[in-house]
Parts: sequence; structure tokens; C-alpha cells
Amino acid sequence: MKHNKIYILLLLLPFAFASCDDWFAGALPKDKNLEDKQFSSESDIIATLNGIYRSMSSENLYGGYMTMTAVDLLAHYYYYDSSQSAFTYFINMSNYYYAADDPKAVLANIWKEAYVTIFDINNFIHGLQNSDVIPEQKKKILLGESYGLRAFIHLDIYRLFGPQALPYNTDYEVVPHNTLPVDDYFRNIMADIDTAKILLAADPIITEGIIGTDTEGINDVPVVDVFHSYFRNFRLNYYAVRALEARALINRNQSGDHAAAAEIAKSLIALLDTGTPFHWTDTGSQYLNDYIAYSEVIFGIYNIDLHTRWKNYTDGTRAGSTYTVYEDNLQNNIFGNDPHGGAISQWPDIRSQQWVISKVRGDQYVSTKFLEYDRLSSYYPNMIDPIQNLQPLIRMSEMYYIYIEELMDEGRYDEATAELCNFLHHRGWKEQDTQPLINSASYQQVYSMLETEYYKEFYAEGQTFFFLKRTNRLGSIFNAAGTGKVSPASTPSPIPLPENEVNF
Amino acid sequence: MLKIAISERMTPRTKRRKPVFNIMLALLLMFPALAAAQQTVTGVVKDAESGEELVGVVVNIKGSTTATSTDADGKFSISVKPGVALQFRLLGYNDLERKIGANDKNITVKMSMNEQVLNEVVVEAGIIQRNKLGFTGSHSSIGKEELKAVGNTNVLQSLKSIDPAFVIVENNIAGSDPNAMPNIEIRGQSTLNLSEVQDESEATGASNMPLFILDGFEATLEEINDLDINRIESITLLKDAGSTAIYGSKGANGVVVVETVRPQPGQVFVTYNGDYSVSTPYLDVYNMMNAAEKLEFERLGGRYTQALSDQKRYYENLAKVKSGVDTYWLKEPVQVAFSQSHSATLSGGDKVLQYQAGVNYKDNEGVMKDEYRKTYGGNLKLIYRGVEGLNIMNNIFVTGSNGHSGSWGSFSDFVQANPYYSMYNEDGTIPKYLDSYSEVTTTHTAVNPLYNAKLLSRTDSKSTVITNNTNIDWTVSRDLLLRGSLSLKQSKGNTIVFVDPRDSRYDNVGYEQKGRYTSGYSTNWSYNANMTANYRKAVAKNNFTLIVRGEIEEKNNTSETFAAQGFPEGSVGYPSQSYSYLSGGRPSYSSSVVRHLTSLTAFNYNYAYRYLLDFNYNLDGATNFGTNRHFQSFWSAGAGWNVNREEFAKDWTWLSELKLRATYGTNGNMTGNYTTSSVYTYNVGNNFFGQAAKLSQAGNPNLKWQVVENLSGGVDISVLSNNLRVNFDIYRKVTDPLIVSLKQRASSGVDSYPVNLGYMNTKGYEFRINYNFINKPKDNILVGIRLTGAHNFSTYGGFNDALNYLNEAYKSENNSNMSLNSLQQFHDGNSPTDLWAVRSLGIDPANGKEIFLTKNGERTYIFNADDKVVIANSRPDIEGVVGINARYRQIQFTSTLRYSLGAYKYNSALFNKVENISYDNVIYNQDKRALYDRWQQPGDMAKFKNINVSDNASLTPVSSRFIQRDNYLRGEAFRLTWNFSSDKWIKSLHLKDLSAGVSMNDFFNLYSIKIERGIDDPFARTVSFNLYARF
Repeated sequence: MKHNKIYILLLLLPFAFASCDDWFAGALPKDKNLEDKQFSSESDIIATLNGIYRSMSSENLYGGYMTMTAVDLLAHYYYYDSSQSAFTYFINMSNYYYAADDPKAVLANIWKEAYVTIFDINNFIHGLQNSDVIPEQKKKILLGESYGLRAFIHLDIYRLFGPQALPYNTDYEVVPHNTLPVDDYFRNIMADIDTAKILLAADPIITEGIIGTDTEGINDVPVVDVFHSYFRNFRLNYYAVRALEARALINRNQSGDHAAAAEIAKSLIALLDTGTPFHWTDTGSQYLNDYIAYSEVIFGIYNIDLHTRWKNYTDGTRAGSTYTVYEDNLQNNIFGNDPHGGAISQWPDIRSQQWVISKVRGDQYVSTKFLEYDRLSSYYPNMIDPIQNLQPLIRMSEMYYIYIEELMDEGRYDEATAELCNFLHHRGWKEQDTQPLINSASYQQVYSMLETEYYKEFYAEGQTFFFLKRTNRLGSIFNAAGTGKVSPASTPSPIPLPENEVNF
Repeated sequence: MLKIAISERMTPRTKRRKPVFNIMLALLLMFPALAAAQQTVTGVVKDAESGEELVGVVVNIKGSTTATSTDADGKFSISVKPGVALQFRLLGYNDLERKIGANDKNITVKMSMNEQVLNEVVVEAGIIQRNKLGFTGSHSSIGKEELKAVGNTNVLQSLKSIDPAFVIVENNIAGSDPNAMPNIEIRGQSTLNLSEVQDESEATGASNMPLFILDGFEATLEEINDLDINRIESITLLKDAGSTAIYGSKGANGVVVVETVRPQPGQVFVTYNGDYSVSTPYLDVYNMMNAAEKLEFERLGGRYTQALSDQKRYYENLAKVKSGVDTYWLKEPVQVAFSQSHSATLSGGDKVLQYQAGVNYKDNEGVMKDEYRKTYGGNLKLIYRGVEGLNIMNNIFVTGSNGHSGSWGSFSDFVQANPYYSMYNEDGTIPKYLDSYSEVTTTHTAVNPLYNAKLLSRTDSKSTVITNNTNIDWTVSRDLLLRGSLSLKQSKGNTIVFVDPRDSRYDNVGYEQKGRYTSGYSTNWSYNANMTANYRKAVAKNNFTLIVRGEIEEKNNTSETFAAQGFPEGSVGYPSQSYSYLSGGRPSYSSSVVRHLTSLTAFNYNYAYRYLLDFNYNLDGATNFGTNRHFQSFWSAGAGWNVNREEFAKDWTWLSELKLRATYGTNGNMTGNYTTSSVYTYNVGNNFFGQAAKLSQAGNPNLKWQVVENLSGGVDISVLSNNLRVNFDIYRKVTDPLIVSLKQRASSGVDSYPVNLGYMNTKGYEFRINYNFINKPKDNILVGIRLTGAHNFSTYGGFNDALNYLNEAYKSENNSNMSLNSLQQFHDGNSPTDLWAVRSLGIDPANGKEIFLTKNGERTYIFNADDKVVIANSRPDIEGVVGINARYRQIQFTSTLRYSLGAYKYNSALFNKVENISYDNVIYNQDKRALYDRWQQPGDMAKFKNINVSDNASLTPVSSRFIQRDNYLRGEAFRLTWNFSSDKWIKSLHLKDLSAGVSMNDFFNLYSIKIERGIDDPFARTVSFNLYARF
């Protein structure tokens, strides 16, 4: 009997002290995962990378401020009336009053979302590197995209907030970041691009092009198997990294390395219509008005809210909250170089045909750029969904312009003009339309053509402002509310770091 | 230790009843009733300390074999010749002899427990039982009688009046709302509220709420709040680490242990308890203007000076006042509330099987109209006392609640309605707007709160909990007891909020967005299984007890919500009547599983119950401790000295108890979160790449848990035959490090990040004194006074500059965390309850401006938030109750007055309704003092600033003028009961017991600060009538 007691106690002890890690590991929440679990299955890993693209399509970044709204306000696309308080936000942005409440909040949100996304990327890289559930080849592709995206977002932080010392975040742990001077900052960007290039050397886009277009049905695609290989133009693919490199080089250390950028740009342009993934958009059919030039998109993101947001921005009736372009600005400034008369929509340039009169006022226009998917559907029968939601971020036209800029720098104005005319032919211009341009080959002429080209091509894509800023043209810029150029009341450069960074 | 003895379970007594029954039966069989010509003595035998009736006491005539025994009510009847002595015997009690005189027809006999049994009185620590004499932890045990003597309606409210360490933090917003759950602290705070590290889904960060244990298993605050007080056998508060270390990671804020009544063998009983109460709203705290005063204030305030149309409006309003319109809005949303509760139990059984079944129902009406909380429950408890020391107990109970609040909204809407407007149009309809007019830039609109109140908006919440607890006890030998328990619990809750489409908040939106229906549904399922071995051994005078326990627990929670909008007029809020889901809205879903594994060792050694030693060790493992470290250990050690048991004190008959004790130990303060690991959450919606997941919380793998170190000492004294009892405790709690969610630079990629930083130090003391002036148990007369008091004070430090961003947050416009007027600042060495403000010297009589004192003591008219200093502290210097207990035969009386001294409070009524009335807010009614006490012209010695409000720029920031001393004396509870049990007439009603009582709550209030209490729901005064009957 006496021994029994001891046995009973001994029986209790292992129960209490048993190793129960398995039991604990089973108790995980269902609607979320702890880090370890997130990187222990391929489907969760790709969901995490997809989540990073989803973050990029948020309104605070490329699904709004960085493309269609805030940055294009800075580029003076949008009409405002200085005397009406409803336009306060538009006025403040157009005049670069960065210290005013609305711009301050918008810029702080861009800053925050960008660094949150970068932090997510860093954690993804860390988690993926330590995970062994994914084949090495796929892993390289996913890692390559991540490094590329990190450089991509950091570069845009520089293009918006630079030139000044900025934090470059490569850490997956929460650590305070020191700001880096511009050259160190770019050294980091170039390093990430180099890493991405190496990892993406075997990108399926190089050998197989863009799988999943025209003929491929997308409904029954097993996502896990093809996540790394399908729809590469919706992901930061190898060519996108190259294009990003060109974009980074032309911005590098303020003055930029134009020649090196143009070299890359030229090599990318050469891909067009040579059996590779990219080809010129088809201007042959008048029913096909593909304003985003889908086949020229090197990199875009899938924005599930693109259509509804675009409606929100352009379909309203209220002044000050609807993003409209003023008739004078559109006809006389942006399309001012065009030798055509009459109504905008009658011009041969397909980009002019996207403009329709807004519901706000008869002299204000809105674009149908992101609303054309139903017409496109007859051309790309299986592609309705992707095109409807594609937010283009790098396109061939930008490479073309980088190349032309280098020709200008070298004083080869005639060649620059010729290349521009060549480009315009892919935007619906006929030989007779470009003929008058050929003769005027001065720096100023070419520049002003390039300037309007940016405006025409990159409406709602954010690139125009960055071009003007890089070439120091913000002091005299198209009048959003009239013909000609204006000097914004204030041009504090650079944009001060937001309060959530400095005075958090 | 009268009070304590009542409440503690007399385990040995029930255990030893068995042989007594046998003897009794034998005696009864052998000796039938004796001849007549003798007198019949009836009587009742009670426990000398607790006053409880004793069952099965053998009563025999000295020198004779004639005997009987007491019945289930402790009553006996025996025929004797006058002059003989009766002997009373019960195992565990000292034998007693009583001489019977000629006049002794009805006698009361009190028996006292013998030493051996006293040593076995236990402290119910919830998951284990401790020997009371040998235990060193700080606790207080409260029996059902003591609990009910204070009040009969709510357990928590009664507890507050009994133990000074148990504090219900007054909720000035929710007032007496029956659906609001109280916020409770035991011995102050152990964590800084700012540091709340919130779980992604549950928002249950570290808190200062104690742990609740019901019949050995964890329970929610809501379950305890709704518990029928008649089901309670005892409550034990565990306060220091010595008593809470066994609860490991959950014990830092103290533990409230509730035990429910156990059935007793014997006759079948039916009891009924009914409670009927009337509550009236407490509106005296409001000091609002009447119509004439309000209009005069508006005139002086400059409301009618801006334009010509203003003048017109003034005369229109004046005409209304002249015509006698003076609406007293406050009385409109309130009512006299009638509440009732009923509970009935049936219990009985034999030696082998005992049962108890009960049902209860409570309808608690709020003083706001159309507001109630109904709770109901039923339970069935079965005890099987088998052979060879095997006892099985099963208890199944179902409880439910049904909370409702109608469309009356917040009381404050009515408080602020202007008295010169009528509620009704002349034709009796209710206008939607009281007033609406446009000025140059803005439109002012005053909504009629009665309009919204008459709509069909509602909030309904329902919950059901089913619990089944099973205990198996096996007394292996005299020294070893084994117990296994299993608890299964399933609960469901549903909350529906409907806002009527006509509600004024939807004035400016389209029909497809008017009205909203929100439904939340949650289910919880948990199990808990544990085994305990209790081994004790006495070697000479050395007593050892060793308790080893293992526990396994799992809790599953799931919740879903969805919302719909766009309801047609007149809709009662069926979701199918809606236009659509919220635009862009998505249903939410969350689910969690928490698993918990605990082992516990409790060791006690004492020498002759003189020198006591306790050691507890708890190894806690849980999923929410993070991925790398599932286990955390906690321990405590304690020592005690029962001075009265020393040889030298043997002859000190005046001393019943003198115990000195001290404990030191650790506890955790944490509930579910995953802050040590990063968490990924799936995005809503898919694209053709499938689903997306996002890093939603960056974890800190190096995070250490908040461990509270607790040092506590105390003394328990009982003298003069227990008529004077004093308990005193002093303690210090140190939480080091705290977990602080620290704000980060945006470029780090996170908003905030949990880190270990700083410490918090809480010191305090509490005491209870009971003194009986008159105590004649023979005549059942007692007059006593009790006084309790408590004080605690926390300071924090070790943050250095880390929290400066909070102090300077007012400088950044986007930060909503802290405004310019925040009374909290974080500087090392200060208290979390410190009130910070800029010192004010009052109003300059010359110009009506406020004069401030800068940090350096210079006078200035300019307010600078950097000049904030500690003005006062919102913790009282001392808070407690003073009460009177009196008993005169059948009548018992208890009154409890709460006092609080030395606390300071920010007076928001002064700030918002006397000053700081912006030009836009003049449309609302204000405090009378805004009219009478504000500066009007040079020379006015006024307490408050210039009455002119037309200039919005003159808004006042918070200064020391708005912080006032908050001393009060409150009539917290009062209760009078009359026990009819000894009256003959109740027998004719087939009653065994009958008592009736009346009690009052919050029946008076003396305070030094004129402040509005009960913003959304006013406080209430309650009178209740109570009836108890046993058949």
C-alpha cells in the first residue's frame, strides 16, 4: 500500500511535465498563421508574395496616390480653381504646399505604406530563404522578384522624396534605420537589382514568353504549379528588372547615368516584335483602343479594385473630388504639339481618344483609360479579367523615351526626332502626320515633344511628374487650369520627410 | 474568527457524519420514547462559531440510556425530568453538558469544534484546498451568510462592500447600465494600461482584471456577474503571491474563488428566494439650466450678436420662454425600474446519493427606458458517496442571458437638449429637429433626441452557456486523497445592433445607405481536465502536506460578424429587408485555439501549527506564450507564525488568534497573444494568383513575459472571544519589465512594436477591523461595527525617453492618441494615476483671462502644454467601508457606508459645459455654472472665464482649475432582515424557514465635487424587498 502511493505520484509527474510541443503546435489560429507555418507550405509562400503585390496595389501606393491621383496632381494634370475652397487639396498639391494638412497626410501615407511593404518583402525574403518546401528553381524566381520589388519601391521613394538622405531598409527585424546619403542609397538599389538579375536569370519569360495570354485558359490553372511562370508581365520579371535598372541608372546620384540607362533601354526596345514576349500595340483596328498598350507592358500589377477606384476618381459630379483634366490643358498643352485641329477625339493619336467630357463640367475631361476592357474583350477573349485589372507600372514607351533622351544628350536631335516619329507611328500617327515634325530638330523642340509625350503616354501612371522632377522642370510647368506654363507658388525641394518618420 | 469559519468548508464534519448516523439509528431503535409525566424539551444545536445548525448530534440524558439526535435543521425534542443534565455529542466537537431547569422548554445549545477539527478547516483556493491554520497566503473567505447580509442581488456588488482590496472601478460613462460589465481590481494595478499589447483578434491584452474560478474551473466575469447569489456557498479572495502562485501565468491580479452550494443528506428541502426591487435614476448630479437661464446665457455669451437675423432668433426664442416652454429633458429617457429575481432549489438525498436541483430567473430592468438584462439558469448537482472512499460529483448547469437596449440611445443626448424647445409639435407629433438655421458658413442643427428614441433601433445580445463539471474523489487512505476533474463548456453568443433608417445620422446619405444591421455571432468550446494528489503526514508534531496537480485545458473561440445597410422606413431590422451589405464591406471571421498545460506542486510544513512554511511551484505551458518558449515557471514561498499556539500563550484566554505571515512569489499577467512570433493574415478577396497573405503583426522573439513579483505580509488578530478581529496586510508588487508597445519610425515598417521596457511598482496596504460591542449569543443579540480601508499607489520608471513621443504627441496634428488636453504624461518616477495639467492661478478679474503658472513659476496668460506638472493623483489616500452589523433576536441589520478620501478627479462637466462651450455648442444645454460663475465684466471675481463664446478661439485648455478633490461618503448598502423561522405560525404554512428583508443601494451620497455621473446611463438608487422560504 505504501508503495502504491508513490507509484501514483510518479504516474502523475510525467503527465504534468510531458513534452507537449506537438500538442501546442496543433493549436494555431485558423484565419492566420504564425511565421513558421506561413513558410512551411508552398501555397502559403506564394500567397505571401501575392500579398506583397496586393499591398502595392493599395490606394496608398500604386493603386492610387503613386499613379492615378496624388503624383499626377503634382504633374498638373488635374483641373483646379484657386478661388474655390472645394479644391483646397488640389490647390495645395499643385502648388507643392507640402506642409499643408492634406498633402502632408497623403505623403505620410505613401511613405508609411511603402516601408511597410518593404518590411514585408524583407520578412518574405528571410522566411523563404530558410524554407525548404519549395523547389530551388522556383525559389530563385520568387526571391528574384522580391529583391527587385525592394529596389523598385525604394527607387520610387527616392524619386518622390529625394534627393536627400533616406532610409534603405533591408532588415526583417524591427530596427531603427539611419538615413543614407544619396550615393549609398543608390548603391543599395543597384545591389538589389544585381541580385534580382542573377536570381531571375532563368525567368520563364525569357524562354517561354508570357504564358496565360490569348490562348491559355486561366480558369482551371493550378496556381501553385504555375505561380512562378504564368503572367510574368504581372510580376517583376527579368525584363522588368532590366527596365528598372535603366530607370534607376537615369536617376542615379541625381545627375544619372544616361548612357548606361539608354544602353539597357535600347536592348529592351529591340525585343519588340521579335518573337519575344513584347510587341507593339495594334493600332490597326479602330475598335481596339488599348490605352494601356497591354502588349507593351513590361511590368504591371493586378489591382482587384482598379475598376471601382477609377470610377470613384473620374465618374463623380463634384468639383474638387473628381479628377478631371481641363480642356485647355488637354488641347493646348498636352496635345499642343499635334498638328491636328477639331475635336480631340478625332485625332489619329489613339491616346487622344480616351478622353471624354466629364460629368462635372463641359470643359473638363476624364479618361476611359481603365474602362476599355469590354472592348478589349473581343480581342483578347480569355483575358478580360487580367486586362481589366492591370495597373501598368513599367512600359516599353518609357524605355523608348530614355533612349531618345540619351540621343538628345549626345546632340543627335535628328535621330531623336526620327525615333520619336517612329514611336508615334505605333500610336496611330500616319507618315503624313509626323512629316512636319522631322524638320524641327533643336534641343528645345525635341524636349518639348518628349515632355508632351510623357504627359500623353503616362497619364494615371505617375511617371510624368518623376520625369519633370528629374529634369528640373518643376519651376515652369503646364497650367492645369489654362493654356501655357505656370510657376507653382512654392517648390520646396525635396519634399520634407513625413512626420511619422521624423516626429513619430 | 467567526466570519471566516462560516465560510470555509467543514470537510471533516461531513465526512465523519456517517458513524454518527449509525450510532443515532442504533440508539433510536434501542430506546423508544419514555413515559409521560416528564417535561418535553425542544431545542436546536448550533455551531458556536458559525451559528450553523448541527445535524446528527446525539442528545442523551446523563446517566441514562435515553437518547435522540438532531434532525436536518439541528432540532431535537426529548422528554426529561427537570434537574437532569443533557449530554450533547458530535464527532469533531467537544462534548457538552447542559442542566435542564424547570423552565427550559426551548433551548439553544452551542457546541464548539475540538482542536483536531480546527486543524482541518480548509481555505478553498479553487483548484486545491489548503489547511487554514497552516496556510501563509493572504486571503479572505466570505460565507454565504456574510455575502447576503450585505445585499441580495449581485455577487460582485456585495463583495465590494466586504473586502477593501476588491474594488469595482466606477464607470462614469456606463452608469447603472445592467448590460455593462464592471471593471474590477484586486490590490490595484500590476500593469500599465498604455502597454496593452493587443492580440490581433481578441484585444485582450494585459489587463488588471482578476481571475475568476467557479467550482474549481475558470469562469468569465460575465458568468460571475450573472450568478444567482443563492447558489453561492462561499467566496475566497486570493490576494498575494503566496495564494495565487498556484495559478501561475493568470494569477497576477488576484483570484476570486466561488464555490456553489452542495446538497446535504437528509430530508428533502425546497427553498424559494424572491427579490423585488425598484430603482430610480440618480439625476441630482446634473446641474443643467432651465429655459430662461439658458436663453440668458446665450444672450450674454454673444450668440445673437453676429447678424440681424440673430436678433430675430433671440426674440423668437424669448417668446418661447415667455410662453412657458421649459422642457425638463432629463426625465424623458429614464424610468422607475422594477426588477425581480426568483430562484428555487430542491435538495435532498440519502447517505449514498444526494441531489440538488435549482432554477433561477432574474429580470433586471435599467433606469433608462427599454433597457433590461434577463438572466436565467438551471443546475443539477448529484453527489454519489460510494464505497471505499470513492465520491463522485457531477454538476451540470445551463445559464443564459438576454440583454436589450432600445432606441433611447445615450442619456447625454437628452441632457444636452435645450430646455426652451418643446418635445412635441402642437399637434402632438414629434419633430425631428428642434432647431436648424444657417449662418454665414455653417448650418446649426439640433436633433430632437426624442425623435430618434421613438424609432425602432435596438441592441440585443443573447448568450447561453452549458457547463458540465465532474469530480471524482478517492480517499486512498487517511493520508492520501486523489481527485480527478473534468469540465466541459460550450457557449454561444449573438449580438444584433439595428439602427433605424430614419435616424438623424443618416440625414445626408442616400436611401441605399440608411439604417444598418450588424450581427455578431460567437461560439466557444473548452475543456479542462485535471488530477490532484493530496498527501499529508504527521510525524510527532511535524505536519507535512504535499499537493501535486496536473491540468490540461483547451479553449476554442470562433466569431463572425456581418453588416447590412439600406433599410426601408418602418423596418424592424430583418437583414433580408436591406438594400445590400455595406459597400466595400466584407464579413469578418476569427478563430483561435488556446491550449494550456499546468503542473503544480504545493508543499506545506508546519510544526504543531505554530511555525508554518509554504512553498508553491507552478510550471505553466501555453500556446500563447509564443513559439520558442511554451513554458514559464512561477513560484512562491511563505512563512507564518501562529503566536497563540505557543506554549507561553497557552493561558492567554483572551487571545483567540494571532498569526503573522509573509509571502514572496511571482505571477504572470498575460492572456492570449502571439507577440513573440510574426503573424500572417489572409487578405480578403482573391486574384488569379490565388489568395494573398500579409504580415499583420511583427513579433518580437526576444520578448520576455511580464512577471509580477509580489511581496506581502500580514497579521491576523482575534481577541476577546472573537469579538475584536483585525486583519492587516501590506504589500509590494513589482512588474519588471513591462511589455510596452512602442511606436516606431514609419521607415521601420511597423507602427509599433512590443518591447520589454520599464517597470511598475505598486505598494499598498489594506485592513479590516470587526468589533462587536455587544455579543450575547445566548439571547441572539449582537451589535458590531466593521471598518475596512485600503490604499495602493503605483509608480513606473525605466522608460527614459522612450515614451516621450506620447508626451509630445499633441504637437503632431495627425495623432489622435493624445490631445493637448491629455491629463496623462509619462515621465519616470511618476504614477499612472497622476493627473497632469498646467497650473492655473484662476481668472484675472481685470480681463476675464486665465492666468497660468509656467514650469518655472512665472505668471502668464499664454497656455503652453509643456508647462504641465503633476497636480494630483486620482487614487484615493484611503478608501473603504464603515458598517454596522446588528442582530436582535429575529432581526438582522447591516449597513455599509463607503468612504474615499484624498483622490482628485478631472471634472469634465466644468470643462465641457461650463467653459469650453464653443460657438457651435451653444445650441446645446449647459451647466448652470456657465451662467452664474463666469466672468462678465472687469472686477468680477469669477471662477470661470469670460462668458462670451462667440469667439471660438477662446477655448480653454485643461488646467489645474478642472481638477478637484473627490472625497465622498456614500450609502452603499443597507439591509434589514426579519427571520420568522422560530415563529409558530409558519408551521401552519408548512414552512420550515421564512425570512424577509429589505435593502437599499446608493441611498445617499455626500461628495466634494459636483460632477456629472452616468453619462450614457444614469446611476440608480435601488430599494429591494427579499423573501426567503424553505419548505
